[in-house]
Order: sequence, then structure tokens, then C-alpha cells
Amino acid sequence: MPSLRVGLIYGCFGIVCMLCPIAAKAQSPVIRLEGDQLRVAASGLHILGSETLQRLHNGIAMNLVFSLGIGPGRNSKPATAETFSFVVSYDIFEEKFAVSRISPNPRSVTHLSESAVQTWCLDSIALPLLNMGQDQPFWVTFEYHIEEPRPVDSESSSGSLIGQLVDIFSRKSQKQESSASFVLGPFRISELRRQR
Amino acid sequence: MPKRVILLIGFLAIAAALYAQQATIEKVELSGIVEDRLSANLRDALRRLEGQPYDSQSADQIAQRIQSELPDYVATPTTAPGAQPNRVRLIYSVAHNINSRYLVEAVELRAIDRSKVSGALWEEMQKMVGHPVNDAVADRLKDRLVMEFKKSDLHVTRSVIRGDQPQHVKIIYQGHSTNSFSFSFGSGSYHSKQKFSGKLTLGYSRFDVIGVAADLMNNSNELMERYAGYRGGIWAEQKRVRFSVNYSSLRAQWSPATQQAAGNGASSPLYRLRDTIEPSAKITISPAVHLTLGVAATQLQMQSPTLHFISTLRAIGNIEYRHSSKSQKNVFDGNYELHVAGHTLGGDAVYTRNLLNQNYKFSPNPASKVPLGATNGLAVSFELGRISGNAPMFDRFSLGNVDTLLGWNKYDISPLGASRMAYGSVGYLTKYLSVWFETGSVWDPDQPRVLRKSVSLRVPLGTALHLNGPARIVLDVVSPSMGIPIRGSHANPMFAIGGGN
Repeated sequence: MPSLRVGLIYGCFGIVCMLCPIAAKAQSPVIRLEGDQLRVAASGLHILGSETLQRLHNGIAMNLVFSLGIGPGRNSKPATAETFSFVVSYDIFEEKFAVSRISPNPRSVTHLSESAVQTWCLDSIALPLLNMGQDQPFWVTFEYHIEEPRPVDSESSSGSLIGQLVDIFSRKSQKQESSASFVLGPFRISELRRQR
Repeated sequence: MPKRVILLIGFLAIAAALYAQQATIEKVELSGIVEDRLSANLRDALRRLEGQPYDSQSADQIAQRIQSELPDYVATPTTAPGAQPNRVRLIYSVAHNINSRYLVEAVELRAIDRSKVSGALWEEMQKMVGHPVNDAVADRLKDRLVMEFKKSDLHVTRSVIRGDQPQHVKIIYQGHSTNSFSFSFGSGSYHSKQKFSGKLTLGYSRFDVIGVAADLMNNSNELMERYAGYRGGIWAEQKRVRFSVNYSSLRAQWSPATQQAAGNGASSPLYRLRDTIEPSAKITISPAVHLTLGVAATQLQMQSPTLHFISTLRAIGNIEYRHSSKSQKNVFDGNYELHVAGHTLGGDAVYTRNLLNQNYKFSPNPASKVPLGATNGLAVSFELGRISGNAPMFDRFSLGNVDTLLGWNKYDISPLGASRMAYGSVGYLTKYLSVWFETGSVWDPDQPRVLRKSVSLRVPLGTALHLNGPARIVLDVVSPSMGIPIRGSHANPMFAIGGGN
């Protein structure tokens, strides 16, 4: 049955094609140690998904919020955590990205490629490992979400209190375009130092 | 390059630079933030620029000072014409969105009834023209627009696109109705030998995530049969996946040439009715790559030797892509489709059908306002098809219709269709005329391969007559074509309306 064999080959090819993006999406970020700073690398992740890229290409700025935390157990609340906020936009003429780090340590950079946006953001993320034993196990939570920002209107025409209230209540809640959450571990400082 | 031209360009560049330097700053404006967020020193520096000759270096230095005080923002200077000639407004855009440095050229509404927008809101929107993009103001106006259309539950999205002038943009408010109804006529064509084809579509969708569609169709162009009937379907879309289930009931009509070739014996492949149910899922792997997987169950009412039914159950896979260069000058698209029927799936037919289709289009001026299909350019495409096994008539290949080998009649080439197909075309497109050279062959394994060629001409009427709006679109769609077969004798032309490459 040659046609059955051919059909099966093409069917497998189709399934592989279908699973490729899922497999890519399944890649987890990598945790590493630089001095006393815990850092994240995520070359296999595509944080700016297709929908987000579409919005960026439409000239809309997007909020990118990361959260990095350290906890004693997989399901325990992180003992130390920090949130890192960025605004990403895409220059529709120069076809390059710009990123503003809002907090902490505000800073801006322009003329980035799509991959450089992710690298620049992740390079900005670090959490100090303080008061932790070399062989004490810990878990890392890494989360991110992307949403369309609702910037504060500095030149709002609603001068009256009632006008401002109408403005506030007529605003819709921020819609999250994309998000992901990872719990990684257990790690030990001594092991992370050896992996460097 | 001749020396004179270089000298002229140099002279013009120096003159432009001198002219720009002579421009006096009429006013300094700050966009995106309130002035109080800057230090008193910086505010003074901004004020001191007023009345001074414009100098881009000094303007950039001030922008850097703004950015050092507000490091999470991108600060860029932009100039706009002043109230008097040779005067400019120096605008510092301070924002998170890099596009805030561009001036708004126009604000447009799409799929939103302008007459239903209040005069005050429209006026507010137009106030953005001539100023840098301000996301906060633009979003506030979007919210007001939504409020004004609250009864019709309109969903509005905003986008920023390149304007017609350099460094200028347009702000677009695009409406998306909660409930959307559509009625359209598509796939319309006329072929001098195969006559009319067309499809009426009625659709309804809610939130653009679920919908139903019904088609009434009569088509002699696509397959070896003329089929007429209806198709109804329901679809639901969630992010990357679109599920759909379609049911169609079509009556087949065969040309005398096909009937004669098929005969009246038990082996005749002709049927009277074709009912199909087809559930499928279309997966968006990336915005440019889509994969469709599905199954189709078809019941055929065969007409020879006596009326009886046979069924076909096939698995369908299709992968399609589209890629364009950054400049949009080069556009590639194509798809590969696979049908596998019988075997473990069941049904009376056992076959595998492969179809590969690739297209390339080159447009030297893709940004031109000439509608798609009427721009100058070059188009190349090819198709390869292969069937293993015994496919029913609706899955067999044919060439010689409005879209392929115009000038040849598919019933003369192969009245029963074929299980192998190779086709290629090259077209040169202009505003007034497009010229195509087509070549292709359909054959069965035990038949000789005959390569047929034709040349066809098509006049995009709407564009050629310089019409605007819907009249141009309609006339472009129903544009006439003429195809001439390239052969030794009897090269009688064939005429067609609509369709085409």
C-alpha cells in the first residue's frame, strides 16, 4: 500500500509542523548566577508573541512586566520578589524597537531588533541572593505578562471632578495580551556556581 | 554620475541646510508630559530657544538633557511649520512610545459611521493633526468614541500607520461590531465555453470569534463538473485556532464531452449529487504560517449503471505561508495540500492527493495607491499535483478555465480530469493591461504528456478608466480577459470575465 505509506509520512510531517511551535513554547528559562545576582536567560522563549508583535507593528506601545521571586518550596510564597516594568514600542518608519524600563532604575534604549528587546529586558532583571546558605535549596518563580498600557493623560480635557470621574469609570480594565509563569528548581547556590 | 549632477546635488543640500538654519524658532512645545516634571533650569533653557535660529545640534542637546532628567522616557525634537513663513515650532516629544516623535498627518475612521460621531468628538480628533502622537489623548478619544457607540456595542481598536508625508503618521480608529452581518458575491466569472460561475455568501459573526455562513453557488470553473447547491457552516475562533464545520449539498452537471468519455458502464465515475460534511481546525503557527487539519465525509449518488450511493472519507491537511520582504516589493506565498482517503478511514475510495502551489510577486512600487492587482509588477506561479489511487471526479485535476491556461477548454484537454498536473505562469502587470504566459499539462500515468501553452491579456477596467471607490473595485473584478492558445492551427481565442490570475 504505497499511498498509505506516503499518507502516513505526510501526516507525520504535518504533526511535526504542528508540534514545533508548541515545543518551542515549552522551553523553560534558564537560571544562572552572576556574583550574588540571580539572572534569567530565555533564548528559547518568544516573549513577544504574534499578537503582541501585531499590536507593536500597529504603532501601539505595550507594557511588559516581569516578576522574579525566590522561595523555599515549589508551592510556597516567594520570600524575595521583585517586579520589573518595561514599555516596548516599534518605530513604524525605522522598523526598530524601543524599550523604556520604567522601574526599577529607569532607562531607555532605541534601535533594537526583536530578539535584542528580549535580551535587553532579561539582562536588566536580577535578584540579589542574600542571607542564603550555599547548599540551601530554593525555588525560583519567573512570570511575565504583556498588556496594552493606559497612559495617564497629562493633558486631560476633563478639568472638573465629575469629568475626571467619568473618564476614570469609562476606562476599561487593562487586557492582558500574553502571559506565562514558571516555577523552577530546586537550586542551590553551590550548584549554580559550578555551572557557570 | 556626471560631475554637474554631483555639484547640483551638493548645492541643493547646502541651500537646504542654510534654509533650515535660517528658520527661527517661533515656539517651543512639550508633548507627552507636563512641563513641571522638568527642572527649572531645563524649563528656562527651553524658553530661551524661542526666537533663536533653529539648530538641530542644540535641539538634540536639550533632548538629551530631558532624557537624563526623565530616563524612562524617549525624548525627541520635532519641527512643525510656524504661523509665519521661515518660522518653526520646536516640539519635544517625551513619551514611552517611540512613534510619539512623528507628527499626526490625519485621523481617520474605518468601519465607523462618521455621521454618527458627534461634532465635538470629531473636532477633538482633528486637533491631534499637526502635533506629535500622544497615546494618552488618542486613547481617551477612543474611549469617548466607544461611549458614543455604546448602544451598537462597537469595539474600537487604534493603530498608527505611516502617513503620505515623510515623518508623518495617520491615527486610525477601526470599528469592529459585536454583531456583524455580511453579504457578498464572490468567485464570479464568465468563460466563453464554460459560461457563468458565482457564489452568494451570507454571513453573521459575533465578536469576530464565532459565526455562521451560508453560500449559494453555481460553479463550472473550479472542477470538471458544474456544481450547484448550497453550503452552510459554523465557525469559532480562539486565539490561534479556528474550528469550523461545513455541510454542503451540491448537484453535479456534466459536459457532453465528459459524459461521452465516462460512458454508461459500471465504471462510470459520474455522480448526480455530492453531499459533504467537513469539520476542520485552522491553526495559526505564526501570522504568516497556517496549518489546517480536518476530515471530509462525502456521499455521492452515482448515476450509472443504476442509481446507487458510494462514500468517501478523507483526511485533509493544508499548510500555507506568506512572506514579504521588508520593503514589501517581493511577496512569496504558497500552500501544500494533502488528501488521504480510504484505508483505516473507511469509505469506498482509496487515494492520496498532493497539491503544491507557489506564487511570487514583485512590485517595484508597493506603496503606490493603485489597488492591489493593478500595480505594475511581475507575477510568477506554479502548481504541481499528483494523485495515487482512484480519486473521485471532484478531486481530479484540470487545466483550461478562467484561472489557468485561458485559451484552452478543460473539456477538450482532458474531459475526465487527470491524476497528474503541472502548471506555471508568468505575468507582467500594469495599470492598464496585464499580460500572461501560461503553460501546463494534465495527464494520467498511462497517457502521454502534452505541454500546452497560451497567452492571455486582461484589462483592469476600473483602474484603466481612472475610477474611484466601489466603481473601480467592481469594474476591476469584472474585467475582461482574452486567452489565445499557442498551437499550430485553430488558435481561436477564448474570452473570460472576472477570475484570472
